Amino acid sequence: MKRLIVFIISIFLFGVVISGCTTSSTTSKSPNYGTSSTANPYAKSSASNNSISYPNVESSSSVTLSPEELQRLISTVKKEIHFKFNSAKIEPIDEYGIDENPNSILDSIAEIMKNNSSIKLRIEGNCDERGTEEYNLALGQRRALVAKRYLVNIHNIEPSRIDTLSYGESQPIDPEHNEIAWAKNRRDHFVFVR
Amino acid sequence: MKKIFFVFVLFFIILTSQASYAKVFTFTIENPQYKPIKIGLWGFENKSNDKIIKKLVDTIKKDIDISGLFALDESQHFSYEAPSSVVRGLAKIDNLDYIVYGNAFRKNNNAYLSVKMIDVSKGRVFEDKTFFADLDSFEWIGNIVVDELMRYVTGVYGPFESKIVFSKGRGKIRDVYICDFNGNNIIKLTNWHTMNILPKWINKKTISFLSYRYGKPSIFLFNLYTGKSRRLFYDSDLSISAIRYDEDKFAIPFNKDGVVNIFVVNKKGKMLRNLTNSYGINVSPAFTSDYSKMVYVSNRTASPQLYMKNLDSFISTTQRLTFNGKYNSSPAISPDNKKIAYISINKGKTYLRIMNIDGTEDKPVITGYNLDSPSWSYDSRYVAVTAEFNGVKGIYIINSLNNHYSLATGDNNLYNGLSVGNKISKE
Repeated sequence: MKRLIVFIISIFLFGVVISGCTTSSTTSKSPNYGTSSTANPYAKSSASNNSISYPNVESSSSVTLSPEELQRLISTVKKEIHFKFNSAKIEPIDEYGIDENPNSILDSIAEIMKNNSSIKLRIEGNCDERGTEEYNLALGQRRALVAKRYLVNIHNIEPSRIDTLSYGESQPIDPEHNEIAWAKNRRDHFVFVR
Repeated sequence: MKKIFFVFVLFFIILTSQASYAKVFTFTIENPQYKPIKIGLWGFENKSNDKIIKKLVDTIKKDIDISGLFALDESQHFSYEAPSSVVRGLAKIDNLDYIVYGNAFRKNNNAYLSVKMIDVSKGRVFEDKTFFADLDSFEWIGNIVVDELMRYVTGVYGPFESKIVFSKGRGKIRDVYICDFNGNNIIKLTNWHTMNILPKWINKKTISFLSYRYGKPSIFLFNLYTGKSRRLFYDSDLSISAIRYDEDKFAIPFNKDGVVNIFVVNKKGKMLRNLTNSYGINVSPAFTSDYSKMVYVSNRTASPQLYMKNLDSFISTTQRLTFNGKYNSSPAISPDNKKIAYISINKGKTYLRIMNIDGTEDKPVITGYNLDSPSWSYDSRYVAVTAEFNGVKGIYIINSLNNHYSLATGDNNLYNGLSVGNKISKE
């Protein structure tokens, strides 16, 4: 019994140590891409004058990554999320060859945007070829908007940094006429714009 | 005893499974009510004007095929001067109902067509005319001949004196085109190296379409006579299409605050008021000719369905029209205000369906692949759609009375969305 208690306590302590390490590693990484208030010279000077000021996100960019590094970082992120037929709901998909959690893709996109304030995003909403064109244009727009809302509401990304555009059913990436192609084509496509 | 019981159960299972199989096995027979009318297209023998004659005869033959009403006989050849009594005698022997015969020739810069039409059973010539047109547009005479023939045979003038606007192209470059109702004489209207889609007739001179010319999709007006265009509406990150509303206004579905509703916009592009005000997607408005009723698509109950809004009463009322299937869209009201054609997806199949204006007698007309944008001919009998039948993508003309369909023009680069214009008549 004693051995068991010792074993449980040691597991607990090990977990605490590990989580502590993870936190510290995140904090140490953040200045590399972060937009912290201390890195903002305009915010500093304003604070010393005791006047009320709002951080100027556009001019306080603290991107330390070179364009190549940024490009490499962007290339590691998935640039599409997918939807079910006639749906504009962000939900996990596991059908017709698509297996993804769109929330985690959006989270990683948000992370890049938070840490690189000069970057803007265009979200292109697309539909599969079924259904009628006018309805699909509106549905594509809803799909783009729902992703924008997620980035704005959950991650506090400035709405002005995100543009939406619907292409309806006009831009399929798979021209075949089957469920697998349709599943690929029902998507939001994310384009980073500098 | 157990064995007997087991055999009895087995026999019962086989019997019921056969019965259920028999239920889904159906024979398809043609409706005898729509027996083709036998018509002879004779004559047209003038060797010196072969090209003109060939083009005219090809137009007449294509129109006759698209009409879905006639079975054609081309066995006899003689000149326009042949006595009608002789022609009628031959037609009677061949068991034909009507004869169209004539000849064409060229004089100066015009093409002439002399044509006679005979009602074989009554033994009378019901049309004896000479038409002429300039050499650039003489094919149009063939459309008039078939329209006149249809007027005599059916009591209603034919649908061929109109034009269809549509879009085609690939990727992000699609342009607006115009063709005759039978698919001939295709002319490109835009050449903007961008996406130009969903053209709609506004009046005899003007069409609207959606263009990505300036990045965000916005509505343009295009004058067919002058070739001039102007941006009508761009006050939204998504406007979809524009159709005429009342005298000089437009009904445009566009995105406002994350919701797509249908709005009235004036000719300067200023939003005047909304026609729908519900959450979600509200698109594809279609009006009765007096603008008292609007049929449109709304997904207020999650799936897209057709609704009708009464616009002339003091308190506007909205009625749901479709209940069959989870996807009903793209409504078009016939010019006589009696029917609504629309696209329905049910259990994986796409249908063109037609119902009465009040939602009654809802029937499938045809099933195919990727059907979209039904648009009525001015005689309220034919519906043009973009569709794919038997692997051929194109503009198809469907006779709503007998479900006969014909390919007007086939093109793999055709994009969904078309609009049929009113009858073109001399000003």
